[in-house]
Amino acid sequence: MKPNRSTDVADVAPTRRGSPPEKIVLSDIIVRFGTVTALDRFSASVHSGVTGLLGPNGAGKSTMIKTVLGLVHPDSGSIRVRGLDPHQERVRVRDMIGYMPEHDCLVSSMNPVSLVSYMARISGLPKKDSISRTHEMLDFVGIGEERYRDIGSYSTGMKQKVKLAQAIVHDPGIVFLDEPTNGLDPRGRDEMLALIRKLGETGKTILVSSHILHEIEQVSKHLILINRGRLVRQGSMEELIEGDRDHLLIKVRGDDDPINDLITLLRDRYSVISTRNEFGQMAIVLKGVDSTSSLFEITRSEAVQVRYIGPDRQTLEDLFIRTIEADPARIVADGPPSPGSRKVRKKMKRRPDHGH
Amino acid sequence: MGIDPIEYRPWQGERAGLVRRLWTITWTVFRSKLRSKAVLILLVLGVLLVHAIPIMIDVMTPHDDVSSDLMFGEEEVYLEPGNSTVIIDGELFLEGEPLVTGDFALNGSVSYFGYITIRGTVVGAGTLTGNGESVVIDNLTVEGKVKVNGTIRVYGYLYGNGTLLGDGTVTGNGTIHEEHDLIRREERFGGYMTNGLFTLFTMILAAIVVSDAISSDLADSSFVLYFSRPLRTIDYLAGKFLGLLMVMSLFCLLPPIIYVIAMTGTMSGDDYGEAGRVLGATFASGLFTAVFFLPLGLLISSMTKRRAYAGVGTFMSLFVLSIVSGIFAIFDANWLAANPFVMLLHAYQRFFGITMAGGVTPELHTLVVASLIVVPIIIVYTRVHRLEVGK
Repeated sequence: MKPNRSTDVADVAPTRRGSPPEKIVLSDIIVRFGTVTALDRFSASVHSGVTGLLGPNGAGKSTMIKTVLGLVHPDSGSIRVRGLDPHQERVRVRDMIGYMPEHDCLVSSMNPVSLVSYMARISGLPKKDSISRTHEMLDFVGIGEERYRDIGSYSTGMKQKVKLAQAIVHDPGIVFLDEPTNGLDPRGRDEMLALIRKLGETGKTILVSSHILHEIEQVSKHLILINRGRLVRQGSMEELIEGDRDHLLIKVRGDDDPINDLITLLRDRYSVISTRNEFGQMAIVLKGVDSTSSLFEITRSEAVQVRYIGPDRQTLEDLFIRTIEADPARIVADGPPSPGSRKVRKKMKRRPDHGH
Repeated sequence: MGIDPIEYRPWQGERAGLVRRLWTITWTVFRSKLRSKAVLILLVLGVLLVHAIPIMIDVMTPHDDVSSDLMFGEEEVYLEPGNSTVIIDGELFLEGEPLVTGDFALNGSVSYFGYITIRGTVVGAGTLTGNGESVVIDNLTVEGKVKVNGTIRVYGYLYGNGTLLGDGTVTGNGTIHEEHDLIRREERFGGYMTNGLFTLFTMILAAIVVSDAISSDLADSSFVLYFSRPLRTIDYLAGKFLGLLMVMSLFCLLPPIIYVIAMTGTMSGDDYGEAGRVLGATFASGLFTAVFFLPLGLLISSMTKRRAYAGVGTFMSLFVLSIVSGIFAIFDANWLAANPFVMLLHAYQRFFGITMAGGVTPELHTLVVASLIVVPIIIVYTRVHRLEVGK
């Protein structure tokens, strides 16, 4: 099938239970906006289930989603959505995707019933089905009688729910949720995350883009870490975190010089994964430590107080910060990370506290 | 807020084809326009004033046939400042205060209701009749008849073999005043589609209808909802365009068709062939009118997020074009091509198979009409496509 030809998409198989898991593969994608490189040789794959697309603001998350949708044309590289090229087979690919954009996009003069059923019909649902399906989806996202009010009068939380309803009304096999909790209060955020979890249980391929670690941790089984348009790490959440279970964390307190000497010594003997200053303590993550006794000896020799030695109980935040700090692109751009760099931490929100 | 959420259930059904989806956009645009109070008021008012009253009056008036004149009006000829020598073979109707510097050869008759000044020589075998105040002519040679109820002032020679009739005074002093030119212009008035109200309402309706066609999607950023679905730029624009066309047709196409059918049904003659030809030409003219203003309106709507700017911009651009055209057409008749309303009139001429002197050439007309329709569509497509691809 050629692009842009008048295509009857009735032959595009609607999503069914039991259909093979959708898969998205991006290879060496480069997207430039003028002099800015939004995606820089980005390669990743998305499998069934909920995948978190995590990165700081401006990392290229939305650009990646829009590129897969065919909304942004890559300068080079290839994309396959269930084996189809979204730029060659735009109509067929979009037929199997639901997209919840990050920013306001709802027609403020329409009510959710009109808008969602309109979107359903544009997606190919017959009129009769579109109405019943619309009500079903509005029920699913938790929009009640207010569904007959104009969207212009809606709160941000309600608008986010309507955005989700329009994204799934045609029962797509792949769903892109771009910052779905944007602007939500804690309760709204929890509701939205619960909806995403429910959707994830249906076997759909769901890509949730967010810069909030806590949310991704709650809903995702897989993770794609992106920074400055480049893939930093990807894999199942379990693998990524468990994969670092052989790391050992040592927290020490002391003057700057002995601590710096200690780090130098440790670098000579072991693999130092990261160093960071945590409230006056230096937290050092090591790999390749056979026994803790040798560690104690080193610390004694450098006259520093050991506050903790034990397994590195890594959180997603730790993973992210360490990975980003180790990102060569960042090193080139910012210079080598200093111990305890808070630059990355500032970019990421550990845990949301207020609505935006 | 809300109800207890239910579990997600997949949808079991078959998706419709692209044509059906496009029709969804068209129908939604059409329905939303008919819910707009401004559009509804304008439609009701326009249909009543422009269509319903003439239909009722004309249908009740005895008529033999349905001809082009019924739709297009009786031909009338005007002289306006210009630079050509005028030769009148038919009947000439003068209005305003035309000034002639060249020769004025009169083989037919000239009627005027104003003040006519001819700085050349009038030579004619026809009749010059005026109900105005005076005629000022440099040299008057009359082979026919000059009848004036006002004053004839001749600044040169006055001689003739005809009759000079007047209730006023004939004076002359031979003084040459400033020179002006004259052009001849033909227009048709009184026709169903050529009366000014039809065009005026069409223009206002187009401005209101297209005002939010694209601008509201720009304001709401709802483009992304369309283009994340299996639609192409062309589908989006075609859906919108057809929806707007349906609204415009309610005023521009449907009533004229009803008019011709009603007139055909009530005519006393039996020239149904001619009536059918008029029906076809009326259909083409009505459809063309409905289409004509939309591309320019869509273009302006795609350039702003404010529907008010888009509406006023569409109206003003058409208005300013006609004003500019009117000013420059004094010096060069081809400037009439810049007047959308003259272009609309010329299109009617071509649909009805009427030839009229003056105005712009058919080639220039075709070029301008194509430009007014095709160029805005290309620009709108490019703009929307750039939005779609996000670069």
